[in-house]
Amino acid sequence: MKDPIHIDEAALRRVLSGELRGEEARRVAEHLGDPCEACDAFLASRGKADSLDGALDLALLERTPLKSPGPDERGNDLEWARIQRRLRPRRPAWRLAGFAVAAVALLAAGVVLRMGSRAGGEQGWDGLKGRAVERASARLRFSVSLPGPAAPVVERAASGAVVPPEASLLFRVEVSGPARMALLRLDPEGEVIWEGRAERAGAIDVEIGGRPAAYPLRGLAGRQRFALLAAPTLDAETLEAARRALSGSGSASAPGPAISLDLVEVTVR
Amino acid sequence: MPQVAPRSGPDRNRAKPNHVLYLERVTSITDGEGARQDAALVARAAAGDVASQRAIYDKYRPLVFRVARSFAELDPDDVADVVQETFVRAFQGLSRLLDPARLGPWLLTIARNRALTRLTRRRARQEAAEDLQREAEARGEEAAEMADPDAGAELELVRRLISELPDGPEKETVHLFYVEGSLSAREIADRLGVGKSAITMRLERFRAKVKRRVLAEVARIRGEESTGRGKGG
Repeated sequence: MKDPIHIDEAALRRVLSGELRGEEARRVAEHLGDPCEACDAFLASRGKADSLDGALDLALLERTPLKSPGPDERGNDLEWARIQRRLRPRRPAWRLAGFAVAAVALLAAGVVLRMGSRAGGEQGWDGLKGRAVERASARLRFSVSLPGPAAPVVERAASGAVVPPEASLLFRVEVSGPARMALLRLDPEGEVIWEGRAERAGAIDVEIGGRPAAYPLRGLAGRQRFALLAAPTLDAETLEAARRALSGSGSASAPGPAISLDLVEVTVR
Repeated sequence: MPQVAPRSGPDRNRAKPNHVLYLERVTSITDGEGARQDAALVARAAAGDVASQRAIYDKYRPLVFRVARSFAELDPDDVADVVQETFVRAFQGLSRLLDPARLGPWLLTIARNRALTRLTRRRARQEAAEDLQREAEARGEEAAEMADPDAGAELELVRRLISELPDGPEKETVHLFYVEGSLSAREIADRLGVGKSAITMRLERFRAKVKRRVLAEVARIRGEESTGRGKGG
């Protein structure tokens, strides 16, 4: 009687590639058809996936209730935006020096950051009319969306709110005039999660691809800060400089004429 | 004998690996019309059509997410990163997908490799080059040419394997993850009050059993074909 043919890296490759033939293939089939601790242990701890794994996962996972994926399973606009952002060609390295200079210039000019006054309550935002251009000309508002039994429950919220991790944030921007805008999550990298443009003063719901965008908080914990930048022109270099400034220092206090900046904070708990 | 799906390009004019056909037969996403839709989406997405990329993302995101969250040691941030990395790498490499109709398994292979890479780094702090090597190997394996198998009732096999598991923690874990499907491996660990790595291992052991049975079937078909006994059944 021949020894059993346990599956190993070489045997697996031969099975998958079709090199295994004849009598040897039949012996392998016979062996693998019966329980084998050694083979199961090898396959369970292999640490890398082959093409069979993808097909196997598809077969296994299709058994689960895929027809109605949960809210955390479905795609969302902001994640999609992040994927698209990562697919864009990277800026050439030689421009980084320019960004650094711009960041310093931006900080020197100052940006309007009103987080401190908003975290404790609503400041006197008296509408858009009459606001000087050089003052805060944009405001970031948000609602909290929570899964409900039949449909999500959406409630307006203010900076400083404590929200559960299953919540998503729906943002609304109010601007005092034509502006280009960017919404950043002030994680360590200052990730830009949305960019948009207003043709006139008014309120704009943050949408991506024409659909309302909800920022999921699942997986986040503790204080989360979101910043809105707005300016009549907001080119890539300025945005990058602001992003770096915000993610680096996290605060700037002197008002400046170039960029309006508003910030909200939630605590995920 | 099942037919190999027609392909358009010269590189695609090859037989699908038999284990792939074996499994595709029982998956609705890659069957017939679904496969044709995927092939069309891949062609457009590879040409830079963002709407087609989005359609691929919307269709497969739940499955990619489920693969990622089958590893209990990965926290929600890791899972989110795995999902993003999977689609970024997939869209960057769509032109290398030899058979566009195999989009689903290909995406899930990338997802599993991304998850395993994170797990490996977390466990052993290994070098980033390793996962590049893995994906290169996976691509090579995906391109391997194999003959068609006879039809197999894979879904039935999975169902039977679950029912054959002796009552106990492994069966409970597999049932929660693969049958009920609403909990992540991490959440199952919390619910059952056991360590995260134990849950990952239970799920991986179950997958290994299924994979072993599929490999047995593939090897059996290969053995019969090579001696001319498989074609006629």
